Amino acid sequence: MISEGIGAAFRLIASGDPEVFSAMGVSLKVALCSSVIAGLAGVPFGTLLAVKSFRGQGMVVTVLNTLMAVPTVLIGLIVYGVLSRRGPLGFLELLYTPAAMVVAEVLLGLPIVTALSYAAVRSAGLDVFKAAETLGAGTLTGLLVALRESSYGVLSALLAAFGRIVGEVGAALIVGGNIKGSTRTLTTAITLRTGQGDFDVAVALGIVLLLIALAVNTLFLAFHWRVNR
Amino acid sequence: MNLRLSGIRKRRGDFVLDVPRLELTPGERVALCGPNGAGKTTLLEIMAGLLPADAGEIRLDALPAGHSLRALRRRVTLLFQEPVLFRGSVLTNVMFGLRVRGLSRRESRQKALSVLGRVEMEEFAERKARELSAGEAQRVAIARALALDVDCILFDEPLANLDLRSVRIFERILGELAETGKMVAMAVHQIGWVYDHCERMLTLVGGRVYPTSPENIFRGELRADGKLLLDGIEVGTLAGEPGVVQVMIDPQKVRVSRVPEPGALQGTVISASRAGALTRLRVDVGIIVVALVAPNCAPLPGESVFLRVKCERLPAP
Repeated sequence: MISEGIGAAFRLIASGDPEVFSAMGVSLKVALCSSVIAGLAGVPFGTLLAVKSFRGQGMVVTVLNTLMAVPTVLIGLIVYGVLSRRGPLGFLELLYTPAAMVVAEVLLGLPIVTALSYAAVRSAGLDVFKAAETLGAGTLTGLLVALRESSYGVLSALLAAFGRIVGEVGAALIVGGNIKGSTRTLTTAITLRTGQGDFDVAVALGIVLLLIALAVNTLFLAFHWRVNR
Repeated sequence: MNLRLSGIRKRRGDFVLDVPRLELTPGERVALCGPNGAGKTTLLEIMAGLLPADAGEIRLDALPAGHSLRALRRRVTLLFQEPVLFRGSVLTNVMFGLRVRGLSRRESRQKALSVLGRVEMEEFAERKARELSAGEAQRVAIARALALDVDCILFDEPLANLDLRSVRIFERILGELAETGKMVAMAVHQIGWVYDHCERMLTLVGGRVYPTSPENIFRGELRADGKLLLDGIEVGTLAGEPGVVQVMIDPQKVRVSRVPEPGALQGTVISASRAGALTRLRVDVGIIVVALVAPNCAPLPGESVFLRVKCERLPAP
């Protein structure tokens, strides 16, 4: 079945199947958008958390590490509750739109980016931050220097968040509704095709998903190596 | 232009650093000695404005009262025991602090090349900083600090990573810093070296600073009759409450004689070494006491001598 799936995957891509390309587009759009937003918030927060000491710091890190394991279905349910017609943000009418999926995926990616950025900067950037301070640098300059030193770890944090987001199905299904051409992602399409008994198409979609993840990882790591050569 | 610490207190778990008063003066090189965990690095980080104290004040005369830690960090710098260099070339590392201070790239480059010359590292300017040996990296870190032209430079174990050539360069730099009126304080373990290169030695024990060599701090028992016993050896009398006490003996106030004197402790010279303009004797009188004497009257190792010591009581640890 797997070998048939690999063959089917390439045939689906080569044939320009509109359902596959639409699901690929939604998956990429939602995952990239969510990862960027989670990165913009999580990387500075994780970096600051790593270089500054304050009471309760250990507790914050423990909570973040715990949130990395939060079930995607739970996030989907919470966001559903908030965005549904009767929910506090129901007036925004975001439910069953890609925007609602982005909200849920940001909540999923944020603890991952923050906790892993914290770990990366703590191990590779803390001494550098202190060294920059001894040379008269302010907090912002120190943070930038620490980030530069920990860039590989921080990039890995972003890629880990992207991987979790692009591969999750629970939250996307609950808040997106799996609407064809609008909120159907590769993962929700796989769920649907599996339910319909189209196993080889489901496997093919899964392989397409893996190829996307491989392409994004390769692209970003190549960029990192080029910049830091 | 002095650096003054008053009423500094910092708690880290069970450890408390307590420095009621400490002052550095221009051109002075002060050594902080003491065992590992005594608080030397914590004190240096507080002096450098890296670590806020729980209580107390650090004043640099050049700065207005109530200045921020950031303002202090612009006038005081600290070199860590393990040199931390940034990714990039040696030159960009030395230029970093200058660029932070707003100097142009060209000015920074000129100044950085000049200080790299002072630590004999100019030919390494374009090398990757992370590819240097530990000694070379420490010299780059020294150049990076020198480039800032700050009022006070603090070193945490500066000799730890240096080879013999680098030690000589460091000693020359220390002399230049003293000549130009910079304040220098450093945490060091090599006491013999300290006598040759520092004007003042302080000892940290259990978070407290004592103005003496770490070799002459003792714990003992003060009896009700005023007699002081150190390791069971009666060394004299002391005023105050009886019980367990901590005392110091100023090495320069130890009187060494070859003939018996009333109340003197008899012992044998274990070693005699140069300590700046003086000779440092280690004498075994049942406990090891360090004495600093003029070289022309210094006894030789193995000689029997008599010591008269003056003990000063230190605050309880």
